[in-house]
Amino acid sequence: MKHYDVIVIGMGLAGLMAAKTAAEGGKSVLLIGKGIGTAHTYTGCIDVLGYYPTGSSVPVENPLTSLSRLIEEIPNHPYARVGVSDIRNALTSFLGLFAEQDYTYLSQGEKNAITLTPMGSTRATYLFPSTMEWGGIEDDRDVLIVGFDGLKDFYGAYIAHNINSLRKERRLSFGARSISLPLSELSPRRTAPSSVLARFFEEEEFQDKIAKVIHAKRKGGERVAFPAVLGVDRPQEVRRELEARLGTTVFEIPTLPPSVPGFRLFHTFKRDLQGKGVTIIMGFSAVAAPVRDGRCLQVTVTTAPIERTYSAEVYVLATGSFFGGGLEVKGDRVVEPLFDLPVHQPVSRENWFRDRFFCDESHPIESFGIMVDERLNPIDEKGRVVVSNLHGAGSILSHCDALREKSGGGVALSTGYKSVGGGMH
Amino acid sequence: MGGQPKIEETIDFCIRCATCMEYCPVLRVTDRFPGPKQAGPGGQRFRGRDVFPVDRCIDLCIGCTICELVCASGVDIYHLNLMAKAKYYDEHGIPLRDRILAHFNRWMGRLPWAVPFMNRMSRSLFMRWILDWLLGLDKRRPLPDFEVPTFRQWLRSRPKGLPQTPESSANGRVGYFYGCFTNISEVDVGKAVIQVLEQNGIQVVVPEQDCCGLPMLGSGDLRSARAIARKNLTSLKIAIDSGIDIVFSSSSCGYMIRHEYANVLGIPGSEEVSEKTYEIFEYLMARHERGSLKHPSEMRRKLAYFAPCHVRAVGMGLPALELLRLIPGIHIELVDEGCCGLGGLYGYKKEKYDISMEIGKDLAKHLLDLSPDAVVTDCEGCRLQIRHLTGIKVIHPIQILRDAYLEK
Repeated sequence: MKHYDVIVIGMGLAGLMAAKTAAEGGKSVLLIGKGIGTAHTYTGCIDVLGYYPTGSSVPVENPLTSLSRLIEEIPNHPYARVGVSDIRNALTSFLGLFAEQDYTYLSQGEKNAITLTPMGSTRATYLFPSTMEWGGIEDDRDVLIVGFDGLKDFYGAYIAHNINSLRKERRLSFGARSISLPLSELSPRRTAPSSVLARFFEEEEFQDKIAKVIHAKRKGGERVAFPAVLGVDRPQEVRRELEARLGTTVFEIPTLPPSVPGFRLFHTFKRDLQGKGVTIIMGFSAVAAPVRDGRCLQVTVTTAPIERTYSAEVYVLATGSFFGGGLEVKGDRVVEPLFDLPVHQPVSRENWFRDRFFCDESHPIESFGIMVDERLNPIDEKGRVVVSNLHGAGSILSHCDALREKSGGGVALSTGYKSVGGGMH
Repeated sequence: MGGQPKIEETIDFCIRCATCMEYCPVLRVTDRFPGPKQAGPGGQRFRGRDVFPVDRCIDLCIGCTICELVCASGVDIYHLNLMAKAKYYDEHGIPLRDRILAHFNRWMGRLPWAVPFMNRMSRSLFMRWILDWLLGLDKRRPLPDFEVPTFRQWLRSRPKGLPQTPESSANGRVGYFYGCFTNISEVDVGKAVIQVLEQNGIQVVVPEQDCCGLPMLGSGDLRSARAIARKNLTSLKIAIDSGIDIVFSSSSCGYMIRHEYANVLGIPGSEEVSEKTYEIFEYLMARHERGSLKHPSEMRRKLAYFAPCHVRAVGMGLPALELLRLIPGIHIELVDEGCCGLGGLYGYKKEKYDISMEIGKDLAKHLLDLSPDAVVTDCEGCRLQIRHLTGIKVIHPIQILRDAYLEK
């Protein structure tokens, strides 16, 4: 049985961050993921705290200051377990991944940025890729949205329509219009998923062709928005090259999943982890993790038809919530399938949801999850540690409605960081 | 497989996130293939009912397994496509070329006297033109050179009573599954495996064996694959029952034996063989962890390691890279570019050659930029493709370890 200092189970943002932090502390690390992790299904932006109190529709202005209030009001929230200073440390450590890169993450000082969504609505986020820099809503220049016939995950006309509706309601100070470019005339393909289109954008010839078409249709004073496909390996350069060709600012609007910025984020992490000698096993589930005397002994990974076991000093459980498989419904109960840890939930299934599905307030089910103490060790209802060498991280943690708070990225990074003792030295 | 769901049952786990579409090497270079999501869980909904034939686009699946590895929802995408391909060929018949290609290496292993003739033929432009025209074997793809004596012949010619290393067979015995390609085209890989094991005082026995069956499986010929698998399992089981483990040096053969005999072919009892079958570096790494692996001596080399799809598909990490990095003085860069594009026989077929080369373009560029002394990779298919794409020397990692043991 192979032994490591740290085994991280789960390859989402929390697992990646835990692996990075542990490896930076000089530990030998095994990172196991059932699949490639959920970074590919998000926008690539890092939300820290977009809306609070939970369910509020007014964006938080300064997330890091508002965190102190949240920590006071929801003492079981994962953020309360980490504390503001380690949340800051985690974000700084995350930004360090991009220190040597042209493509990086930006924020509007300490404030939330209000960005456009692929629905043409707005949302608050904290850190955003540098290719989305000019997409903020403070800028009152009109937007020309460029879509592609043949890209199924981005509808320019729909986005423009919704932006114009918001403008009519005086909630936005700019308007938008859209054009759709025929992929078949610009490339050898009729259809392309976003990652393929992103590769085309790195070719000079493709840039020339689309710049020519757009230039003919552009009005003065407009900024130009593209789906978030401006290159895979050198998106920031692509953006600058397009700006030079078009003579105006260019930015990305996230697409529907799968997300190219999520792809870039994942691979930045992966390269970093590989450079630090982290062993990555992707595509296989952890199926058993026996515990004796309050300590996890080993993890069994299935590579059908056989199984393999690995052991470590410290284990991190970052298997996600319902979507990632970290939580499952078994009859009338929500369970954590790997360790069978106690899950915070109401006694009766009737209380999982509110009466109205589309309501502002949280549905109770959204904050189900495992309970942890300030070291992120899993605990039971009475606060007793259940497994002393196990730490939870990411969306598997209870008392957090990341969907409404827009706090998923920050919770993942900060708990991943803290789970392996980041900030302890 | 106990609690594991059946391959076809996993389609309901698909949440349409399309992450697999971002990683499919074929979809990346052509839109003639609708991508793993559409071809796999999407198409399977119709295939379940017998009235619908399988669409021919399934033939473009290269079989890299990447879609299945990246899927976070547990959909057996690659296997769905593999079974659909088999169904497609059931409906349409397997082309003669594909049958010949699938069996070619094992035939050559039995006819070593034909080697010089075959080599001459494969170098003759005229013959290549004929094969291209007659069979659809792309003339631009170089055919591998065949070697005599074959690995099997070399084994037979070794003096009895080996190993003769000072450690003798102090550390036990192990069985070696060498695979067709080692036998007829890269005999030195097989020699290196034996030398490394013997240097560690491990006596190597070579159980009776045939092709692993992966080429037939990839061509949709499940019946031949199953017949061959049964034969191999019988002899491997005898070896295992005598108390030894089996090692393999070809990641593709190993993947087939350890995983697909049970998962796809569903042959009862194959699990017992899976349990005792190890990739050669996985086996050596376990010894290293127990402190019983001989230390390699210093070797100044700049290498690039490419991890084949089937190494990833067996889910063991990258033990070859880990172990080679223990050699003092060696510098190895990990090249992480997905599929090389050969896909076994895929890249030899006329209608797929361009796709195959286009897939390998990024990998080739990356390797040429690095310009290492040699590229190291565990799969013979990847080695052939990288040689063809770059002209750089490409070898199996075991050859590096052997050199580190034996070079002065």
